[in-house]
Amino acid sequence: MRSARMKKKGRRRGYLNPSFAFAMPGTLVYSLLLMLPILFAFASSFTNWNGLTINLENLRFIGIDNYSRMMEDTALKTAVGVTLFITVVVVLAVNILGLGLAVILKNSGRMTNIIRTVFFLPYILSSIAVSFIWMAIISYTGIINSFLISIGLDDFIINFSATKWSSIFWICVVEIWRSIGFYMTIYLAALQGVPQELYEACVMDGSGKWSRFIHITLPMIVPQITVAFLLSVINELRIYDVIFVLTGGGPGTSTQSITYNILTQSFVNWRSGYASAMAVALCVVITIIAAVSMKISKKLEVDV
Amino acid sequence: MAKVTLHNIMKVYPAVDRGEKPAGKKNRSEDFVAVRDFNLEVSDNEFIVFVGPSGCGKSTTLRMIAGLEEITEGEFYIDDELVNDVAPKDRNIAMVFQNYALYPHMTVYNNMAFSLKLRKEKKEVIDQKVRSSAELLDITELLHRKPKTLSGGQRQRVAIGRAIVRDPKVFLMDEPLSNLDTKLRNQMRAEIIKLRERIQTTFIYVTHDQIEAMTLGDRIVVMNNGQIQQIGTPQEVFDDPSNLFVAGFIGTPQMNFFNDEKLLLNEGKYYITLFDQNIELPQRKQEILKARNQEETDVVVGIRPPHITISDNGTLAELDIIEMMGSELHLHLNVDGKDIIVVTPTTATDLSTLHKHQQVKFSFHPELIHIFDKEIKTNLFSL
Ligand SMILES: Nc1ncnc2c1ncn2[C@@H]1O[C@H](COP(=O)(O)OP(=O)(O)O)[C@@H](O)[C@H]1O
Ligand SMILES: [Mg+2]
Repeated sequence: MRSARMKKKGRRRGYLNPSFAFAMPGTLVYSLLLMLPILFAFASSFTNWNGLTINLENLRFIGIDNYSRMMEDTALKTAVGVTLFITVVVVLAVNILGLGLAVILKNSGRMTNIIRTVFFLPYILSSIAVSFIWMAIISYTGIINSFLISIGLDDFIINFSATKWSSIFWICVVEIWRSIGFYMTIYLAALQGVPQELYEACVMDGSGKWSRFIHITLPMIVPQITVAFLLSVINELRIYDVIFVLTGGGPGTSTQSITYNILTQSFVNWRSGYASAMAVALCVVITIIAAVSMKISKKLEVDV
Repeated sequence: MAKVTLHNIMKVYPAVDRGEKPAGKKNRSEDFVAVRDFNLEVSDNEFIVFVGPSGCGKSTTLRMIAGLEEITEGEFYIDDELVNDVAPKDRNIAMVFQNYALYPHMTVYNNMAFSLKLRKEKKEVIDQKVRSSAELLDITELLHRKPKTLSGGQRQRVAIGRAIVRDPKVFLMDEPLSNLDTKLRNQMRAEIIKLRERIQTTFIYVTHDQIEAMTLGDRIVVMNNGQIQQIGTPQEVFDDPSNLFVAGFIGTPQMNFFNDEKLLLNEGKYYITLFDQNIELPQRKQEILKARNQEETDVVVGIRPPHITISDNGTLAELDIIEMMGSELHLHLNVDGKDIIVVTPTTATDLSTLHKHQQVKFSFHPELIHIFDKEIKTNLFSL
């Protein structure tokens, strides 16, 4: 009713609807900086554009060639494997450990706020900065090795980037360390939202700690579990910065992630069309994952 | 079915738990004593009601019985077994919470079956118990529903059902009706009375509503400031309030109090001053005071509103306000600036003869007055 009245008034005086006027700057920026590039990337994924030339002579529309090429791309296959592995490990770790930490933290009285801040801190730093901090610790000339050498334990020095799996291990460690505080905070808020009375009712019904966790806590925080799970999956599927600093995709190309691969194709091999196609595919996969987990969550969710 | 004994129970909440300013800051308050000197013996199958104003420690006491709060001091026995340190689940006590606290993600059936499942009862046994309890409470057709689809009254029934399925020794209820509207509350109150006849259990019921207390309780425990003021049957508490607090708390409208009166002793007979007269106390009361060698003292005199009658002779007063309550009339009389409330049955009064600001006379029977020591606030007639 109100918006109808406003429209009428606006038309009569010859003004634009004020809500339009207010939304305009945001809409403009959003479409210029986000929507246009996305559309552009989508369009270029059907071309052989090299990302450099504006000369349109060599630019050809090549249909779904870029997409079918992905099937035979061994570098991409490796990248998908690496990314999935890291995603599974990190998602499980940050969600399970994050929830565990939140449970411990919830009952730690006055220390709660301090500990929460400490754990959250790494998340505020840029992941590049975090990675460099860790490099200073674990690199060949880093703190750990210097220390080991100084006490004569030269045999134990670590060379984490020597093999694919130790590289991936440390990538996971840094990634978990960086983001666990964020998920812990989500879970802490979720736990604090569960009515105390439910736990007390459950105590009276004869439950132990574990059964309260299973029968009350978990079902009551399904919405937050979904959010945390989704955020972490999306984050890890796009992992790039930490790998870039820690291993540079090496040894060889063995720790390149999908995003790393896309960027290499785009800015090293100058195959922008192909890179765009991969980005579009990744986007579609993430969308599907999001949609499916929302569906599942809706089924499990409790409405009070 | 069990006997419950509370002996010198005390509950202290440490200052930190109360969200008080952290140590070091000025103004840090002391530990807070929520309940003290709590002594009570509840017999098998008895229905006990804790009543008192908000914040007086009723819930705290109940929660100590349930095992949800630690008992700071004192002993708590169920059937002569000391259970201070027994876990809630081993006390076999059930509790109905004020906000029902139903598990939102479970159906009514599962809400009720939950405690039995935890006890690893057989499926058929669970089913049989849940269904018979549901029948008792008339909620059989709700069994497959989730709590959020239920009305307040239905949730209340489910909460009770969840508690009775497992035949608890003691059944605790913390203000179970206070979230319901008046009509539903009256209805549920009647249901609780019926329920009580059908299940053999010891009940401890908390309320701030004295009408609930009077109608439900075999005995009432009146509390204030964390301490028991009086324990007695509804009749005892109403007729012989042990102190000013109980006298004022039980009964609506409130008892009329006259604060600046005196108890006089003249030639072996006790009198009180009231409305510029000396009123001789009736024989039974004389004897009580005599037996105790009561001396002359400052007293507060109390008369309940229904015990005052408008009559042809008596004390003169001005009629200030007439409240028509349906079956009874509340008349506010003004005597020398003091407001006195009189309750009289509507049928016994001709409304057309009453007008505002009219002069009326009222009287009361000396047998029905209460006298409290002004200093220590106790009832002088209490034995
Ligand atoms: N967990 C707690 N920590 C500190 N003080 C509390 C706590 N619970 C209750 N209290 C205090 O104890 C007193 C009694 O509370 P309660 O038993 O809930 O009163 P009632 O149920 O009679 O209204 C109140 O003054 C309340 O502020
Ligand atoms: Mg309470």
